Amino acid sequence: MSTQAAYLEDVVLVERCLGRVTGAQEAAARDLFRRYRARVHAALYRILGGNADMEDLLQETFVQVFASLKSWRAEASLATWIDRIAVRVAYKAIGRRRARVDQPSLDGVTPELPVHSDAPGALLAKDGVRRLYAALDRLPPASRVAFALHEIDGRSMAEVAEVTGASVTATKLRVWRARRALEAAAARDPVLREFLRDGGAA
Amino acid sequence: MSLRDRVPVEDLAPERWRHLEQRVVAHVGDAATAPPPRRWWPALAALTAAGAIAAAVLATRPSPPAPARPLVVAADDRGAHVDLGDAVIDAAPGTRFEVTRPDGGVRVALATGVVSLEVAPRRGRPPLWVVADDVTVRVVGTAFTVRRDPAVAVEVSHGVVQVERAGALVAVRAGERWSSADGVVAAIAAADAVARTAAGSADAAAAAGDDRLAGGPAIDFDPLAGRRAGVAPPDPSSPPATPRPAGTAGRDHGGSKPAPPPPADPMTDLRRALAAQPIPAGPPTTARGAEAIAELQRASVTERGPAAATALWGLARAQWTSGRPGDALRSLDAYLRRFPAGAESDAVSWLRLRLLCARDFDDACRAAAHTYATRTGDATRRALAVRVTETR
Repeated sequence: MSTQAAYLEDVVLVERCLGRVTGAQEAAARDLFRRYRARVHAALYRILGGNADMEDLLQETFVQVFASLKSWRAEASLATWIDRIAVRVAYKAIGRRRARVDQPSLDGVTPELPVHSDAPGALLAKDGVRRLYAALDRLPPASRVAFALHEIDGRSMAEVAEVTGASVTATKLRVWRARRALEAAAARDPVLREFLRDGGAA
Repeated sequence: MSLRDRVPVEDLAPERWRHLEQRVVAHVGDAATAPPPRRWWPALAALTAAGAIAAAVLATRPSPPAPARPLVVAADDRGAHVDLGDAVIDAAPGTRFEVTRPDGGVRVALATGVVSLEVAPRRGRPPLWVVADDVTVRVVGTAFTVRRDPAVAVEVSHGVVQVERAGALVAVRAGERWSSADGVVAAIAAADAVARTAAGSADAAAAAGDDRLAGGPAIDFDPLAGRRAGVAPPDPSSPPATPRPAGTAGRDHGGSKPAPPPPADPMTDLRRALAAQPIPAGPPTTARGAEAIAELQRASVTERGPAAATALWGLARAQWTSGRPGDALRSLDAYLRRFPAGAESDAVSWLRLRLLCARDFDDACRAAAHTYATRTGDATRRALAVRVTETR
């Protein structure tokens, strides 16, 4: 689907959700949820490192989306606008986790990471991911979010800047700091070093 | 291999997605209609200010005519005019009805006769109902007429109403009539409207039942513009309407009934002068209605520079003419933020003034007028704006 067609579909979808055009509001809400749930889930998952509390976070995101839908001005794409809300929810989740856990624990932060048992090096991958997010837990939230969105979720610097509300320069700085911190962590941790070398991030 | 591939997203089980969808959708009805969340301190300040204002008003003025007890109206041979603030009711001679305000809404129980209502968009407020016999008419924001004689007929001039009878819901839109006699929604035929305006014609009376029911727009004078913010304004390119005294709306089509005295409104002349100033046309579009709005929204984002400015102006104007003044105001504000010196900035500022002053000459209206007066090069409009700033 072209960007323009997707945009027009979004406009109509929002109008339906707001009850401005004929059609069941609830059905429109389901359509919007189904259209964007995978994107939001992926962003939250890659920022936070797992599915812990994921249903609550997804619900919080979409409830905020529907509550604020009137304020979507169609100046940004709906996807980007929803991403901003998801990022805000992720920031809050990071804050709550930090309040819950004084000292980051390797066991506590990534409880549900997937492992393909038939893949070679699955154990290393699992351990590497856990250690990656343990290292990210020690970063400032802004650096963590920027790194996760850019390096793990694969978004451009400009897009990360847009959804986090920062300038591109600040975003580059945040990603660079995260890389530097991960390099330092990898220097002390051979498993993480191996994982990052394969991943090519740090 | 990138980190993206190294950190695959584990999907949730379908059952968990289903539950989540149900939880999210359950919030939608409330969320979509709820006002945006507010910080506590402006609310506290607003409450304090409202309390102070209310105390001052109570100390200096009698209470407004919105009693908790039912307001029983029996129109005399000149009819009746009831202004509820957010709705205006004009009743034909001999009409009897009762108005109550349950939970902030408006309930009009029509015992007999004809009422014409001009209702401001309810937007978040409790609805307005007209109950006539076993027929309930629910209003969002519109102008319409209900007759009970003894069958019930509903005719809609602007907007749309929901008619409910015996659990069945019917939407009656502008230019349509519904009657309890046959339960059918039909277009108001031009010939029918003409016939009904021919006073004294026995044939017309027999065909239409009551010549006081108006076909087409019931109100062509705009003293109630502030209460019709959600109704599409008249096309400025059309000839100006003939002014008619307030209170005769929707009732004087027979031409033989004396008009009640107009309400004393010292701002009427100023309102009329503001409304007389034409609003420049927006850019031409190939679509209409919601499609035109979508087209202009897209253009306001995808275009750059003057083209984007023109599209944003056209969007605001289209929203205004579609009866969405709130959206129009947001688009106008966006225009002034993005293109403060844009080619359409004078027209944008003027429409903004018109919208903000539609309901009342309050502080927001006067601020907009002040801003306009300091920037415009149009002497006539500047003089009008200055008059608005002096309405305090």
